[in-house]
Amino acid sequence: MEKRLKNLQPGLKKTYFDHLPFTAEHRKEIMKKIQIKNKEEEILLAALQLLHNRKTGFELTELLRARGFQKFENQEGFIYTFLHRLEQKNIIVSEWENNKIKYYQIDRKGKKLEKKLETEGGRSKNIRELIDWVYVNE
Amino acid sequence: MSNKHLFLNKVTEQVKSKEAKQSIKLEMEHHIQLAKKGWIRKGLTEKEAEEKAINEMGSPIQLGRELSGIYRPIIDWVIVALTVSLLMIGILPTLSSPLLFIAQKLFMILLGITIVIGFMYVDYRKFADFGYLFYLTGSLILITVIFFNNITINGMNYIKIGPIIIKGIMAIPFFLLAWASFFSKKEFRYVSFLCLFFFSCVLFLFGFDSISTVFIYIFTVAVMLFWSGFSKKKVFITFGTGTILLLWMLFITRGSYQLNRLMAFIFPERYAQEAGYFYLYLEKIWANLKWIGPPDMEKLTFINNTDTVFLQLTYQFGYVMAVILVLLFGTLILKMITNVKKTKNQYAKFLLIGSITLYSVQVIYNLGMCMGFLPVISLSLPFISYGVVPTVINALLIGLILSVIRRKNFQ
Repeated sequence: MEKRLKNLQPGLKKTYFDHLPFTAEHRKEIMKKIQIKNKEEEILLAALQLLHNRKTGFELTELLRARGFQKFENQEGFIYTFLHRLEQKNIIVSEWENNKIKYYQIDRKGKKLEKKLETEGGRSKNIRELIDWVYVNE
Repeated sequence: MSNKHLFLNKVTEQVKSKEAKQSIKLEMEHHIQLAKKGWIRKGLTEKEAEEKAINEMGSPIQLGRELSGIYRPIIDWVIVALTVSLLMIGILPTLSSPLLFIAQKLFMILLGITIVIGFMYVDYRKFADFGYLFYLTGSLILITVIFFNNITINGMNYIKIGPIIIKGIMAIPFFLLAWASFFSKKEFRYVSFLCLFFFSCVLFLFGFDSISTVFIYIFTVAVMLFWSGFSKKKVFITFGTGTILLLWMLFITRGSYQLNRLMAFIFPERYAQEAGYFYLYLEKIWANLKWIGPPDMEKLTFINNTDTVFLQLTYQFGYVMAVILVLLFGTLILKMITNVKKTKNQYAKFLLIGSITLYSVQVIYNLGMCMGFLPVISLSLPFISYGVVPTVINALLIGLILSVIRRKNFQ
């Protein structure tokens, strides 16, 4: 088995991977993706911090934009899929004012999550899963 | 139709729930309105501003797809599978009976499954505001049984009109729906609770249904009361005085008889010739059981009593059957309980608490009774025991629970 596979790696390098160079451009692309991923944790943390006082989706969008997050730029509607998913996970709660305006506010579970994000970032598996689920599925 | 409404309709097109649709539209319309105002302030015309605000929301098709995923109805397949399995196991005790019996049990299984699935699709929220109507219906059933009963079996009064039998126990689901509605309302007063509860208890006691009906009714309402908005002090005072009152009422109505039965449970040897016989017999059976298979095929003397079906199954198939049944019932009950915490809507919560209690108390009491831990009362084992009325009522409870779970994403 070992013998038969011995030439596989150099062989592939000469044939298949020859057409697939890993250029600086690729590296940059991947780094950008990783950065966006990192940003997602930051946005979540920022949103949780902002929601210590109740806010509408519109207010939250504006405030996140003011903080330099561009995640919801030109796709502002997705702030609502974001918020509704957080609400389903009991991280935030919502209330209607006069059956007209919907406000969101952080809940107990959300405060725990906020602390965790502040101390260890998005490294734990649970938080990673949550983040992957909470954002747009591109 | 304006562009804004076209956009909102596209977004909510795939969302199944009407309420979710409405609330998403309202929320996003508010957002577009404010964004539009912002663009007008920056110098755009009204039409341009709206166009811009809508474009900034992103792709309505993708939004709609995600929202329909978020508000997707849920079917709890574990609960469905466990319910169906338990109903199926119910066929085992009838296998040695005449064909007609088996056919009837098969019909009950099908009826049970139909009710469970059917009720899952019924929107429980429609019942939320009809508490008094359900209370009235429940009371009317009991009053009819009290005044117009035409047959009495084992001291219980029924009404029999052709093939239809009306029993006091049928009132219980109606009272459950009524109490869930009452408790979920903020304006529900403690005094109203006392009056309504007292009146229903009197009806149940005079209905002369079996003592177990009264017991499971009072127990269920007590558990719901514990979770209600009333202060814990009021709740415990109610529990205390309620228990005393109940014991007193039991004593003056059927005192010596009930006392005799209770004493037989505690000292079965002294009452070996009468009520204590059952407990001694029970001990003998449990002592002789093997893990798998029958010790011998001797038929149990009380084999016709469907309330002790757990004992019969264990006797026929060994301890393994007892373990399987306890595991199936246990998982079903625990699976249902895990949903209570996730439920935010008050009405849904009380409906869950009430239905789960009503179902579980029958299971736990029946198993405890068959194992000899609890005094014998006439209470059947949900889904396994024979009988159309209990099957229908319990299927209805599971259906209600599935209905709540199905809509937990859009309460």
